[in-house]
Formats: sequence, structure tokens, C-alpha cells
Amino acid sequence: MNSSKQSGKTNYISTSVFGRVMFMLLIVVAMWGGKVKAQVSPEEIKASLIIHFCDNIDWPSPLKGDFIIGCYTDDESVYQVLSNATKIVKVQGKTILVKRLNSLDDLEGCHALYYQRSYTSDLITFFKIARETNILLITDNYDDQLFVMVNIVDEVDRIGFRVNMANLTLAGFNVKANILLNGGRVVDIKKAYERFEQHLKDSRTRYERITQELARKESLLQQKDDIIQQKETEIDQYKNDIDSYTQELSALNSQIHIEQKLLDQKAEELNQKDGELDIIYADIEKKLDELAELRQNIDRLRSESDTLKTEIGQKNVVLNQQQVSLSNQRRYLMLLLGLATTLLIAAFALTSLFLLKKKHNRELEEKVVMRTKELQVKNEQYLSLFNLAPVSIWEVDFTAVKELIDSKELKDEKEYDRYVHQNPDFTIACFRKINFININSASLELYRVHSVDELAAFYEELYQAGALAGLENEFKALFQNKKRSNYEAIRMDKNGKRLDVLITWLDVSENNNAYSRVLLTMTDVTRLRKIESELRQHQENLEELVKERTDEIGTLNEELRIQNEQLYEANEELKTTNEELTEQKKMLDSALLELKQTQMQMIQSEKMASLGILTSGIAHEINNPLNFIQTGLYALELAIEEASVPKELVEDLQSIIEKMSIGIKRSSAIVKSLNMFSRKDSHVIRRCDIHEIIDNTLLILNHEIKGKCEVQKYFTEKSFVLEGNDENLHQVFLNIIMNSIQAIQSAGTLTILTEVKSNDKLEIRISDTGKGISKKILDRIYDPFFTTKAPGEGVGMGLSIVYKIIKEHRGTIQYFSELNKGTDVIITLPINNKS
Amino acid sequence: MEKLPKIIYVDDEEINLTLFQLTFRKYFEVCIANSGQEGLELLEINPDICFVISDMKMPGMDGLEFIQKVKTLNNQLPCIILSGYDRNDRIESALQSQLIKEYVMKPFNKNELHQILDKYI
Repeated sequence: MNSSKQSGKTNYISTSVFGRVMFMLLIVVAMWGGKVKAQVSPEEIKASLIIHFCDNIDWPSPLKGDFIIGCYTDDESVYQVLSNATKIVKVQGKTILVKRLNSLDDLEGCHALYYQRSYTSDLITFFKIARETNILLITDNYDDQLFVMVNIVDEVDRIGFRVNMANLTLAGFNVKANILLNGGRVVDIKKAYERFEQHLKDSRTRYERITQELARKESLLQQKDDIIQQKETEIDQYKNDIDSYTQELSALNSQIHIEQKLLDQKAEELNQKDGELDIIYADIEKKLDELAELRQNIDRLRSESDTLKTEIGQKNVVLNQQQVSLSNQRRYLMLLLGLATTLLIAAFALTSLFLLKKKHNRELEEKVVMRTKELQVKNEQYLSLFNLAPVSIWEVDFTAVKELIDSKELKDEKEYDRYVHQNPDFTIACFRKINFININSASLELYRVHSVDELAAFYEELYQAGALAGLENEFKALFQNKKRSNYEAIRMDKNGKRLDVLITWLDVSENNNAYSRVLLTMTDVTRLRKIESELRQHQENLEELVKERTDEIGTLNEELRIQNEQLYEANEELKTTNEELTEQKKMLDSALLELKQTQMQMIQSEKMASLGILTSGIAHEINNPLNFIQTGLYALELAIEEASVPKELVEDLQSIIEKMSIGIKRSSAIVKSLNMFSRKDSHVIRRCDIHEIIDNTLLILNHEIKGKCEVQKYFTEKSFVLEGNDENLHQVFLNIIMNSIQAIQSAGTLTILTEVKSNDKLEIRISDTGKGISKKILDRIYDPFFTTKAPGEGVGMGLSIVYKIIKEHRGTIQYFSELNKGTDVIITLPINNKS
Repeated sequence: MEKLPKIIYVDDEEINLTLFQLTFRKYFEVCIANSGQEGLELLEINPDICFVISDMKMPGMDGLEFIQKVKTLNNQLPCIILSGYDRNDRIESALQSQLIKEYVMKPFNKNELHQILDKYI
């Protein structure tokens, strides 16, 4: 940076010096003609001027030793000339000693100082020291006349000098009058001061302006920063929101998961219960089957007992018949006996008959014995049947009971009932009258007793204990003269075990002696009853269980239904939340995108704006030196023309100058394109014919297009009004179409299409079949100074200018490209159809 | 030798002044001033100056301010601006009001400028 700047400066000096020298030669010769030779160089003039000053100024105190002149210069030439002059010339009668200074420290001992620097920043320091230590300061072309003593000035036609009397006087020097003889002038202090003041004022205003601008930029930057920060906070907030929503969502999800699990568990339980229920049902079924079976058993037993009863009845009938016949036979026997007795009495008389009768008697006796035997057999048969019967059978004599009942002479049942009610002891009295004739072994077994007496005693015990329910009915039946009765009663055996018995009694007494012989059968239905009651209980239990279970299932079902509903609700809520979240996320995404785009646009426009401000300054600063060079070249051409320079050299020089001119033109073109950015938006806006602009552009580029690419134009025929700056629009299409043509390497097609879109936009599509733009580069094409062209072919400003102009026209531009296929540029510009 | 037409060129850059003078010395007698103020002084001394060329940006008085003052001295004097700056609104309005005849950008083209000078002198 530094070195290039310095070399630039050196160049400028040498150029300007070169230019000046050509001219000086003539002037100086004319002026110094008498004094010096025809070929006097500026160094020699300057050196002689320095010696002239030193000789014409008196130092405040007498000088001692040699006269020392310090040279603080980056131009060797004057120093060289001065050094050479010391051999010939003296100052104030003293030998001159020229000393080369490298810094302020070397100044000591000097009487005079020649100061000539490209950078003059330290002059004021030198000036102050010189004034304090009586050193004569000779400056060379120093601008500020206030800080000089003697200043050599390169004037237009000669080398002159200015003397600042005030400074010399202040430094204690006495200036001789003839100092001005050699073309010098006294500094107009007033004018110099005014100029200085003006300069100072300008600097101040510039400083203030810059400060203000800086402050404005800073505040702008601050504002932008604030906005960005705000947006960032917003984004953070949105991010937090999303996080919390996501957490909520996952919490809800896990809750649903848990509830679903619970539901599954419940369903499983339900299944299990169903299974249990099935088992219970099966159990019930089985039990019912068993019951049915038992009932069948009972029925069978009943029918069996009925059969038995009938059998017994039949047997009893037979027995009765036999008894009847037996008693008849007995009666006959008695009669016969009586007859026999009579006969016996008569036998005495009738002996003859006696023997016969005796034989007949014997036969009769035999018959009776036989009959008796038969009767005995029958009786034994009956007894064995009675005893061996599987059912408890009692033979009871109720005669006494009946007598007791009848003795009360009660008229009807009502009266009987009332009597029984009024006389609680009546029943026991009746009971005591029962005569137990016989009971079979089954009865003993049933009651767990060993004999009839024991049973009778036990029965009385039972009666006393009030455990003989149904006995009254028996007595009542006697009162009613019933021959038979059936009832079920609860009894107890000797071991205290409950007995359920089915009691049937039948009066089998002979006709005239009622209730002397009553057969009482007791069937033990305890087990049956027990099973029945168990079954009933079981059934009840089962029913209850079923009911319970049904209720439970109902409750469970209800609970499940409620839970299901809750779950459904939760799910719905979740869905809604989810949808909301999705919506919010979408919104956030688009907001973020928008934000990014806005940021990009802001950055881009800020970039362009700062570039604009920068370039307007730079353009001026570059154009001036360019002007020096260009004008210098013109002057040089003129000088070459006038000087007698050999012809070959002239051609060389002209070629060099031409090339330099090209350089200037190129630099100037860059600066001009940069200037596009410093332009304000106040350009003239008027109605433009975009088709004409495109046609013009194609005309200008005709030499580029010719023989290289085919141009196809499809311009819309719809009418529209487009307002803009046609100069700028020309530039837009020139840049774009130029790029398209350059993209086509040997042959291709350039298509330009215009179309009215949605009545307020014009779309212009410029397509080429060129080499295309890679994706990597596509993002940077609008960047200022970005170019893929070789140096000298393009500055890289084209598309950034295009971008700026399109933006100024409130339009859009988009590049679509594929490598080796081609590039499409789509520009839209606002139009209106008011016509 | 025929007397050359006298013109004035005002620019705060000494180099521009010198080289300009040099370039056109065969065609014009160029008076040079490195500020507007100096230019006005020179114009007063040299009433035969027939064309004014001024830089735009100068300390103190800028080109247009200088030319406005010139017009108070001689309303008929043709003036142009020669500047390194791009055109701006002030320049546009100055051109429209005929305060300046032309606006020439630096680096100038000698032939172009010469044609302009010939046109008005």
C-alpha cells in the first residue's frame, strides 16, 4: 500500500518534472541568459539561489568557522550541485560546508537549512528550531507561506522565490536589500494568513461534516443493530415457545401412553373376568345339570317309594283278606268247638257217631294247625317284610288317643282348633296316649336308637323340646276320622342330627276298631332337602354373583366409557394443539425466512448505499490525477512535435503515449461506472418504450452479435405504459445482453421475450444457450467488482449497476442458469394500463 | 504573430493549471488562477478574457459560485465546468438555466474540449 503510493508519487513527480523541464529550459535561459550558460538545470538555479540567500542575509552574531549548509531533502540533485559549488564559491567570506541531514538531530551547527521533502509534515518543527537557533530556513515549494523564511517557488515560466520578512526578522536575521534582485518577492503575509485561515475553516467544516456523518452512520448502525437484536430476541422467544410446546406435547403423549396402558390392563382384566364368568356359568350349568339329575333321582326315588307303597298297600290288602279269612276261620273254629262240645255231650249219647266224628275232628284239627301254620308263615312274612323294608315303618295304636279326642265331644274343626289352642297340654296328653306297637329296623337306624322303647322315650324328649312339628295335624286327622295323611316334617335323630322326613300314615285297623293299627312310614329326605337348599343357596349365590359381576362389569364399562371419552377429548385437544403448533411453526418458519430475506436486502442496499457515498469521493480523487496524466500526455505530444526528435523515436513515443491513453480511458471508464452509485434517485422519469430500448441495444451490439448468434424476439402486442429512465434502462439491457452474447462461445441463440403479467407487471425474459453460470458464482453476480472476465474486459460492476437500476424502477431481476445449457434472466418491471 | 484568444482556467490543483496552459498554449492565451477569488481578480484586470473554464470543487468558492460571480461582471461570458465529479442536480439545473454551457468530465478529451471552445469563442 505504502510502497505503491510512494511509487505513484515518484512517478507523478518525475512526470511533472519532466514536463516542466521541457518548458523551463526555454524560460530560464531567457531570464538567466546573461549570467549563466544556455544549459542551466533547475538544480543549478536552486543551488545558486541558496548561496545567494546565504550571502545576502546578516546573522545576528558573527559567524565562526566554516559556513555550514544542511540539506534535508529527498532530491539528491540540489545537494550534489551545492557540494560541487563549495569548491568555487564562498559565503560571507567563509568556506561552505554542505552537510546531508537525515534527522532533526543533525541540525546542530548548521547556519542554513535547505528543506525539500515530498512529505512536509515535519516542517513546522524544523521551522521552530530554526527560528530559535538562528538557522536560515530555505524551503522549496512549500505551500504555507506563514511557515517559511525563504521559499523557492517553481513558477510558470521561471524559478522564483518568496521572502517572509516577519519570520526572518523574528529569527534575528537582517535582510540585505539586494536579496530580491534575483526575481524574489516578499510574502504577502495578510494574503497568506487569509489563505491559511480559509484552509483552517474548510478543514474544520469538513471535519464537522465528517463527524456529523459519522454520528449519523453510527446511529443508523445502532438502529440496525437494535432491530437485529430485537429480531433475535423474538426468534429466541419463538424458539422457547416451540420448546415448551414440544415438551407439553411429549408430556401429553406419555400421559396418553400411560392411559392407553391402563385401558389395555382394564380390557385384559375384563377379559379375565369374562373368562371367570364363563367358568361360573359353566359351573352353574353343571350344577343345574346335577340338580336335574338329583331331581330325576328324587323322582325315581318317589316313584320307587310309590311302587313300594302300592306294593305295601297290596300286601296289606292281602294281609287283611287273610286276617279276615283267618278270623272267620277262628270264628268257625269257635263255633265248631262249641258244637263239638255240644256234640261231645251228645257223644256220650251218640258213641257210634263219636268215632266218626273223632276222625273228622282230627282232620279238622290238622286243618286248623295247617291254617295256623300258614297264618304264622304269613305273619312272619309280613314281619320280615315290615322289618326289612328300606323305609322307616311304624306300627302305632292310636286307639287311646282317639278315645281321648272323642271324649272331649267337640263338634267341628273350629271347636277342635279352639280347644287345642286353649289347652296346650292337650297335645301332650294325646301324645302320651300313643301306643307304639312296633317299628322296623330302618326306623331304628333312622333315629339312631336301638329299641322301640328307646324311640318312644326319645320321641317324648323330642316332643318336650318342641321338635315334633306336625304332630297336631296327626291328631286333628284323627279327630276328622281320616284314614290316611301325608306331610313333611322336621325331626331329629338321637345324635341331634336334623332329619327331614316325609311322613305317610294309613289306618289299617280292622273295621270296628279304628286306629288300633296305624302304619306310619317315614322317608328320609334330609339329604335331598339339604342338596335342594344347598342348590337353592348356590343358585342364589350364583345369581347374586352374576348380578354382582354384571353390576361390576357395568360399572367398569361405565368407567371405561368415561375414560374413553376423556381420552378421546384429550386426544382431540392434543390434535388441536398439534395443529396449532404446526401452524405456529409454519408461521415462524415463514417469518424467519422473511427476516432473513429482509436482512439480506438490508445488507445489499446498505452495501450499495455505502458504495455510492464512497465512490463519489473516490471518483473525484481519481479523476483529477487521471486528468494530470491525460493533459500531461497532450503537453508531451506537443513537446515532441516541437522538439527536433528523430522520427523513429517519435513513433515509439507516440505508441507509448497511445498506450498510456488507453490506460487512462480504462481507469476513467471504471470511475464512470462507479459513479452510477453516487447518482441520486432524482433522474428524470418518463414514459419509455421498452421494445425500442431493447432494439437500440441490439443495434449497438450488432457487431458482437453478427455471425455469432441468432436473435429471436417475441414482443408482446398488448399495450402498456412503462415509466422509467431510458438511459438507465439502456444500460441494463446493454449489460445483460452483452453478458449473454459473451456467454455464447461460438454459436447459439439469444431469445428475448416480453409479456404482460397480471396487468401491472411486464416480464422480460432474456435467454441464451451459452456456457451458463455455476451455482457457486450465481450468488455473487450482483456483488460489485465481481467478474469472471479477463482483466480489461470487464470491471465487475455491470450486474451490480443493473441490480441497482432495476431496484430503482421497483422491479425484480432473477438469474436462472445451468452449466453448459444456458442462462435465463427474468426481469419484471411495474407497468400501468391507464394509457 | 496573431494575438491568441484569451481564456481563463480556474482550478485549485496547480498541476492541472500548468498542464492545461501548456496543452493549449498554441491556440489560447490561458490565464490561470488557483481559486475563484484569484480568478475574479484576474478577470477584472483582463477584460479581454472571452471564455471561462472552472473546476467544480475548490476550497472557499466552488465552480458554480465563482461562475455566478463572473456573470455579475459579464453576463455574456460563456462558462463551462471541468470537474472530476459526476453530474449532479446542481449541475443539471445550471445547465438548464444556461449558467454554464457545458459540463466536461476529467480526464478531458483535448479535441472535445477544443471543439467546445471553438464553438463559443
